[in-house]
Amino acid sequence: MIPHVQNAIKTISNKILGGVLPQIGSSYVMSDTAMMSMLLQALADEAEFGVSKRLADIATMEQILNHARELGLSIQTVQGKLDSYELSKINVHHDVLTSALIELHEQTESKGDYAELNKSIWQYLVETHKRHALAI
Amino acid sequence: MIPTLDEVSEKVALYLADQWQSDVVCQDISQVFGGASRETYLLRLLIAGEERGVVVRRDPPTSLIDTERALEFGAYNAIHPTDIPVPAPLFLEEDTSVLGAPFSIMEQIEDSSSDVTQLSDLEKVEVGNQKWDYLGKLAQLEPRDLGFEAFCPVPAAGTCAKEQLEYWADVIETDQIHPQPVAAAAIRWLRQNLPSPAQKVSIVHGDYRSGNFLFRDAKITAILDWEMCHLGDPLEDLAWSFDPLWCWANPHLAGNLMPHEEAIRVWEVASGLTVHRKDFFWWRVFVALKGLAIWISSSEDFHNGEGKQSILAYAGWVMTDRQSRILLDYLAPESKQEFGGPRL
Repeated sequence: MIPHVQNAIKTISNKILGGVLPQIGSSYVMSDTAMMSMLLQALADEAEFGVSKRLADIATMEQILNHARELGLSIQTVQGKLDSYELSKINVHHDVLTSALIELHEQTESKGDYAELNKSIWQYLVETHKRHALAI
Repeated sequence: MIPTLDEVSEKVALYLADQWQSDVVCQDISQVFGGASRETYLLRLLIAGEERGVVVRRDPPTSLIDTERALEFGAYNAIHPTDIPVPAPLFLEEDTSVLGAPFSIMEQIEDSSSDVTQLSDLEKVEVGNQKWDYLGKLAQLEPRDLGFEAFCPVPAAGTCAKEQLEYWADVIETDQIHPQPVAAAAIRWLRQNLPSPAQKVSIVHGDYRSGNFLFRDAKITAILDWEMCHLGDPLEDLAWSFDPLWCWANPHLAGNLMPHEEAIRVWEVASGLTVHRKDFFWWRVFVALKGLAIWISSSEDFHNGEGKQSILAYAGWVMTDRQSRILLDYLAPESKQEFGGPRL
């Protein structure tokens, strides 16, 4: 068992960069290996923070969609609820909410009275991209 | 099945010996790493005692960019006799029995680099002047005079923007693994704000950026990677060459070479065309969306197992993230406009 997944993956990645890479003769394989190592660094962060980042997205999207319903906008009903913290299941729920948000975003553009709601969607998009920005 | 380097060198040497009716020995071979849409190999050959370098581009099972090899080869053939420097195209082989997939062979440009970060500030300006001068000259060429209509659809000046937009919107719709709210917002904005008709239907390189041309002693020696070449509005190429993705650390230096306004001035003089800022902003948003479509597509290829190269995963993740942030910078109402889009 590896108790600290992020550390373990980053250690492996650094070992590839520092120990394996200098031994490689082909420049093609060297570049490919360096890229795989960088991807491992990103995956390490995803293993550590992926769930919390998505849960933060989900909470904000639900807030925006609920507010839209209170304003009388017609939003597709989000089927099912999040009942597992497995990343793949969170992704499915995240996708459902994102689809509803896209639909809502379009409605706020075509209906004149929803400028604030439209602004809050743009704000969410900026925030979520900051939250998920990769450090590589 | 991807052939080994030994297999490629042996089979290409035999193929060229047959084509040239001469002894051909491969002395050295290496594979080029990067976002190329084809597997690219550099070969040093000995042909009847004389040394020569060639580049072999073989179709992979999947790539960052799904393109037609005949179109790319046709573009090299058509452009080669002009003043725009491109490597001499040698052979296009569609028969898969030779290398297991179609391939093309071109002349290798010797002793040149594609990495503009190694240039001094003065050299950057020198290379930048040539880069946008060649692009302006490309816009000035008459595609029909070069025979482009034989292998490339000719759009109308008034519809080329919409055609390009719908093509790439369809790529996103087809290939997205997750819903893309930034892309969706950008597509809506682009549909509602279509630009004026193209001043001229020109040859569009399609991927004109730092990294896709070679230089030696601050002189551009060849413009490469014509696989996304098409006919359309030349502002598309200019906008693509400005995309902040190609100068992430310094977005106000177009292509990491020179300030935006300087590059525009050089291009306008060379092309004889005018950059209308409102239309140009549309093209800047469009190219960011086109980039996003390419990265989304590479993610899909990696995800579905069509391609397992690390470049597909890297581009699909890192570039999608960056390109979405560029679009947000252009379009979000309270954007800090760090990438200089609307201010142009």
